[in-house]
Amino acid sequence: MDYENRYTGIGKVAWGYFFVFIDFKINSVSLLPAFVGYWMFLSAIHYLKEDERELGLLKPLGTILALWHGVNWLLSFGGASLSGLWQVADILVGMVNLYFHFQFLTNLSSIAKKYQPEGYSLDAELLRYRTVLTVLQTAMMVNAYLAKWLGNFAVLLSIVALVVCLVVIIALMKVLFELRRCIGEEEAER
Amino acid sequence: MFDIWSFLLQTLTVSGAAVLLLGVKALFQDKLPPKWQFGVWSVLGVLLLMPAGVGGRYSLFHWQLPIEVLKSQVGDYSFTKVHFPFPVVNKLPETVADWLFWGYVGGVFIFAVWYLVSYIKLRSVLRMGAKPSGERAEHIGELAHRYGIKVRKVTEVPGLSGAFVCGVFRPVLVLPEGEELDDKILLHELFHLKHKDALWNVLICMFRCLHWCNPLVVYCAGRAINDMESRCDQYVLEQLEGEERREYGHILLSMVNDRFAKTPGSTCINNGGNNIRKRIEAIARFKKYPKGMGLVSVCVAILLAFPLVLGAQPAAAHEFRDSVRLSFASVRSTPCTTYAGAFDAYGKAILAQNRYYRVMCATEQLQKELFKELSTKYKDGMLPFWEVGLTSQPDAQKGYAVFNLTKVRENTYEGLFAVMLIHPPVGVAEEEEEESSYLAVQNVRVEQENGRWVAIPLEEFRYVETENESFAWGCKKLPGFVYTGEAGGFRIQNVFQTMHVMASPVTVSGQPSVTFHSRYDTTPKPNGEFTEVTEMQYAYCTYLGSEEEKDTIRQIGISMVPVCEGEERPEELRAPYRMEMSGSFNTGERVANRTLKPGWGPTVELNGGGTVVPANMAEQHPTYYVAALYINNEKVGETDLTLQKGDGE
Repeated sequence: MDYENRYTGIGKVAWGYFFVFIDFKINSVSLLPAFVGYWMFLSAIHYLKEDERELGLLKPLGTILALWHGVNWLLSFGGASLSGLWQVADILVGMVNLYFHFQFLTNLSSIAKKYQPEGYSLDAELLRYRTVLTVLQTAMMVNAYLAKWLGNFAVLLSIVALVVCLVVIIALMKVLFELRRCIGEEEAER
Repeated sequence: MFDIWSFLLQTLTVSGAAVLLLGVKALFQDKLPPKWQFGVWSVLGVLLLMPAGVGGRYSLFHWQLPIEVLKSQVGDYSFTKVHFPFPVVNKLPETVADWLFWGYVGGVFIFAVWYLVSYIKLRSVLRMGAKPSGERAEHIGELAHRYGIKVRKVTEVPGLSGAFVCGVFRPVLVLPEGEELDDKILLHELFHLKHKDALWNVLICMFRCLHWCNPLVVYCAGRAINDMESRCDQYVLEQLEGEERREYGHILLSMVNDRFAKTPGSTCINNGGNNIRKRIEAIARFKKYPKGMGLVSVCVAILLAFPLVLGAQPAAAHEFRDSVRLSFASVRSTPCTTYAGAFDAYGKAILAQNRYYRVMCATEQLQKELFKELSTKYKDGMLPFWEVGLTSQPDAQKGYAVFNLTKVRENTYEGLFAVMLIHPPVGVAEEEEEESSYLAVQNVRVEQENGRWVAIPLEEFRYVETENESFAWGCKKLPGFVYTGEAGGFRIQNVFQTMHVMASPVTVSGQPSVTFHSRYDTTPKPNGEFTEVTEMQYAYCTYLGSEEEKDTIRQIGISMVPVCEGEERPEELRAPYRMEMSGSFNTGERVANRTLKPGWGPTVELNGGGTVVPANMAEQHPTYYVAALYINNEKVGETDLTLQKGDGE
């Protein structure tokens, strides 16, 4: 049962990152809405909290993010958005988002450390991507605040950051699927 | 801060940020380490040291609006501006607001004196102290060495209840004489020494003193000192194991009922019963934070600091249909932060014939007059129609343009402001109506007044008849900068005209509107910049020679190139085409050739044309032009065309 939970949980995290960071839009409506990703994270937390108790602490923050993105997605059908409506909410959501991914990946790294086979360093890779993602997210938000002064350089920085972010997310998903495969193989060996 | 209004603006700005900060701290209370919980107060510290409203920006909430409402209630029409984050008295009190400011300054003075006296008292107590005995000194030295802390001076004072650190530049570790102190307490104080907490304490006391009448700031100051203690608790707990951590909590609990002093420039483990209770709660949450927590702590603090410190600029003034007073305060609290913004507010005031828009870019004196007019003539709910002094209505959909914009001196610009009219102005003959359009033009100066840009018309509106139906390519009927020279028996004139515009498309949900009837947005952009400049040039040659020679001239050609400051004079000019044709090149060179019919002249227009460039690339006007004249396809002379002073103004 533990194995099944772990296997399902890690898979949901990997697909969650796909929904949260990768997007295609028709007009302003997302085809891969971020709230689905957060909903998958919440579900993964449910499956993984026995392996890593601290994951449970992220549930309230994950719920806030899922609700925020859910409402935003619904509003996007009418061409509206919550972003930019109230600066305080934008600031809070930005901070919660940053902390959530940092702590989530830190906890996933602890799980990887426990269950990865010898010779693998999936935990270290997860920590590396966590750090890059944290710095990237901060840089992108700071870039948005400084866009007025940076001019075209801000556009260039955004494009570079988006490309790096895409690469990191693909690499992160690969590590998570690798971890899921390791967990599956370990169970099969047993 | 020279008056009560600027103090209000400063303290309310800080209060808004303080509320957000307290919320964020509550959200991350059990998630981020005590080091972050203390460090994040530095964001509030920066805001306390930064004059509120710098560059027309505001933090979280546009506090200037309620302040301007209050001010106009008492008949004060000056623009509230914070020059320094501390009070400066520069006049004797005359009004109630002045007396309130004096009361506030008096409070600051009393608090400052009280802090100073308590600090002097503490230092005098320290003078009674002596160096600790050899064994004790050795023990402290060993403990400090173990944690890499430098201790300059230790003193023992009789009658003290606990240890503390005192002094900013030469901090002293003060111990109670004859009392055994637990190493954990010593360690706590040593960490205060290491992190120069006495200095932070002085800063916190200074802020408490400056905002003594703002309970929120006073509360935050207390919270910051408590977080500073919690941070040292965390450092100590990280060095301890199991049972020792529990003992540390017990030591703190035993101090709950002890007396404690709040003296600037000192730190003490005992900061009062209530605070100790909160620290015990923090100790109960103690955990060793994972590696990398420092990074996320800094990133979260950056995300909080940037929007708070950089702030935002009010993008547009709000009109409150039901209240003249509120609308007036709103437009006054939305200053024009750029010279283009002031031209735009003036232009939109003319186009929309809106009195509120005029207030945005009006001088303080004019604001006062406009408010009197508004409050007497206009009732709540009425449209703020402004009779701009034109005999025909301006065409709002065609926008406005500023011709020949020039920087006349630092922070002062002048230009010829122009709007198109829907109908000919009163007094123009009916037959001319169908073929011509009419412009209303006026020289306008824009300058800085008390940190905001204001627009001052330099003359009454004049009417100019033109064939142009829009501002697409300048206007020949309007003046320009005239460059003149003589060559080959001709006077050559080149008119250089600039036309600045600010794009104002109506947007719906961030996208330009495609609705036909709403192409031009007449809402002022007080922070706007000119988006593009049309640079037009027209060349004219006037014959100065005899009539006999004139008849031999069948073709006239010209080649000219602009030379800006710092550029080298070109050695060779491109020859004009041999047939009737004109052209221009991306080097700025222009050539033209024209076949003349018998009886021409004496003035011949050669070529005209222009380019549209982004406004930020069109700052420099040519210093002079080099021109070569060709008669019957033979070069007859070359000259420099220099700027004729007085033209284009």
